[in-house]
Amino acid sequence: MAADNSQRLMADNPRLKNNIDITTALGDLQLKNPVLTASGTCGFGRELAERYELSELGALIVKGITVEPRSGNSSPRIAETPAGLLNSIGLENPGLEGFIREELPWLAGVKPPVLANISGHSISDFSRLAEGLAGRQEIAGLEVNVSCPNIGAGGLAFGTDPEMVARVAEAVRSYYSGFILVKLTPAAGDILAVAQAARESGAEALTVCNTMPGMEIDIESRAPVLGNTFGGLSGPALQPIALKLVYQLAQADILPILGGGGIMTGRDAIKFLLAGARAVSVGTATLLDPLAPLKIKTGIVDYLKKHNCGNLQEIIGQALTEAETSR
Amino acid sequence: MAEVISQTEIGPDLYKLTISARIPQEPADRGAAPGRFCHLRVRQPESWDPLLRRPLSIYNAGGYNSELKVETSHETSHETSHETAYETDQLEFVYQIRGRGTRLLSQFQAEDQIDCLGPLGSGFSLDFSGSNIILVGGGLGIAPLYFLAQKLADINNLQVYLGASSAALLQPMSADIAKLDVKLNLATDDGSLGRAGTVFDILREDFAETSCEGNKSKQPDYIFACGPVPLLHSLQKYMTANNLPGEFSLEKRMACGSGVCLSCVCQTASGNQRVCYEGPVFPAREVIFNGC
Repeated sequence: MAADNSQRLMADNPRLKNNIDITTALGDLQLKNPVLTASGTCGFGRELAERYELSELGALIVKGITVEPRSGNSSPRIAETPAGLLNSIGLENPGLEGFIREELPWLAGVKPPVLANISGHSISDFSRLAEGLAGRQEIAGLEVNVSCPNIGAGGLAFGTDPEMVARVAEAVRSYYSGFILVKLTPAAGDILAVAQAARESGAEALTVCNTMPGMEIDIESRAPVLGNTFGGLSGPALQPIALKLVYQLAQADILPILGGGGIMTGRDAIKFLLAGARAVSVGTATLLDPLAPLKIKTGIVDYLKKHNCGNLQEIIGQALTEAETSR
Repeated sequence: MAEVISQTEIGPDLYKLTISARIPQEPADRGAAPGRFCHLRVRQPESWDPLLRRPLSIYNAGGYNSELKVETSHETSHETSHETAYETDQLEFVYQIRGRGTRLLSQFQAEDQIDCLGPLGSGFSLDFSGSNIILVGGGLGIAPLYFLAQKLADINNLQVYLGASSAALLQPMSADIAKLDVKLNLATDDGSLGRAGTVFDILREDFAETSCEGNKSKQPDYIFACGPVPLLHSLQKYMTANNLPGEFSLEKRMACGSGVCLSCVCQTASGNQRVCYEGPVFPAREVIFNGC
C-alpha cells in the first residue's frame, strides 16, 4: 500500500517530518491540499480573497448557478437550530450568462482549481448549463447539485431517485467532457444505488453530502420561521449523518469522495478522511469564521504531525474495516 | 480575539459592552466607523451552540473618543504567515436581550475573551460641513447614531430625533447624545420621556410647523435613520414626498457577516443587496421595504 511506502520514506528521510505531503486527488482532479470550500459558502471567491490568498485552498466550489438568474427566496432565509443552521437562500445567482460574463473573468485568475456548481429543475436545465460551460478553461470541473426539486416529477428531489440521477449525470456528461462531481443529498433512501447510478452515468467523484431538509417553527407567531417554510440543515448537527454516508459509500468503493457536513475543525475533517473521503468540503464553518478553511487545513497538518504521518494518504480510509480496505 | 473591558446593565435588559479589539490596519477601511458593525461570537469555545455570531452596530469607538483608547501592535498570523499591523481599538456596543444569543452575550464579564469579527460593512457618509442634518433613531436603532452624532456634531447643525417604547429604554442612550452639541427631540410610546407618540409622529409634527411658517432655514439637507422597518418605511415616504436625501441603516437575520452566504439580503432599486456587505447603510431612496 502507498501508506506503507511513505512511512518507510519518513523513516529514511527525517527531513520529511517537517514537510508533510497533504496533496490528494478526486479522480483526475489533483489537489494541493484536501480542503475545499463548499458551494454557497464562499460566493465566487471575491470576499474570501479580501481576507487571504485563495491559493491556500485545495479548490473552490463556487456559488450554485442556474440557467436563468434567480433573486432567491423571501426572508427570513436562515434559522438557527441546536448546533445547526437551516438555510433557504433559494439559489440566488446571476444565471449562466451572468456567471460567464461577470464571474468567469475573475475566476480565471484564481489559482486553485475552481469547480462550478450547477442546479436545475429539469433535465434540460442541466443540459443547457453543461453545454454553456463546456470547454471553459477557467473552471476545472462541474459539481452537479441534484438536491433541487424536479418540477417534472411533482417536486421530488432528483437526488432521491437513482434513475433521475442517472439521467441528470448522462445529460451533463453528454455536453461536458471535463471533471464531474455529483453532490448527493442525505435525503436519498438508497444512497448506494444513487451513487452507483452517478458512476455509471459518467460522474468521476461524489460530494457527500448536501444539507438535510428541515424546518423551524416560531411558537409565538405559530408559523414556520423560514420565508420558504423548509430549508436545508447544515453545521455540527448534520455531521454524524454525513460521516455515516461517507463511510458507507467509501466502504462500497463506488467513486472517490469529497466528504463534508458540519466540519468545523481539523479534528472533524480527520474523521471524514478516516471514513474514506479523499478531500473535505468546509461550508457552515466559513460562515462562522471566514478563516475556517485555513484553520482546518492547519488542524489536519497538526494531526498528521502528532501521529507521525508524512503523507495525508496514510490516514484516508483508516476507519474502514479491513475486509473493505483490502478490496 | 478581543477582550471585554466592561459590561454594564444600563436599562431593562439593556447592556453596554466595551471591548478591546484587534483590528488590522490594512486596508485602511477595516477600522471602526459610524454605521459599521461587529459580529460577536456568543458561545463558549468548543461549543457549537448557538452556532451563529450576533451582529451589533458600533455605539462608540476609541478612534473617535478620547475616553476610549487606541494602540498599535504587530503580529504574525498562524494561518497565513503574514505579518500584520494591528490597531487595538476600544469599541462599545449597546444591545438588548432579545433571545438566547444576546442573553449569553450579557454574561460576558471584564477580562473575558470574546471572538469579534469586524468591524464589517459600510458606514454612514461623513463628508458634511455646515449642513442641516437630522438623525432619526427608533428603539435599538439609536445605537449607531451616537457614534455618528459625535462625528457630525461639531461642524454641522444636528437635530436628533429619538424614540422608544419607554423612558427606561430611551434615557440611557439619549443621555449620551444629549452631551453633544445637538438639538435633541425625544418621543416615547407612553409619554414617560419627551413627547408621547412615535419618533416619526414628532418629526412630522415639527416639520409640518416649519413649512407652515415658511421657515426654509430649518429644511434639512440630509437625514440619517436607523430603527424598525415601519419607522423607516414611513420616513422614506415622507422623504420622497419632500425630496429629502438620506441614508438608512438596516438590520436582517445574518449568518456570515462577510458577504458570502446571501442570508441577509434586502431588496433595493439596484437588486438584492447584502446588509452585511454593501450595507448595513443604504441610500434611503434605494431600499424597497415591501420585500423586507
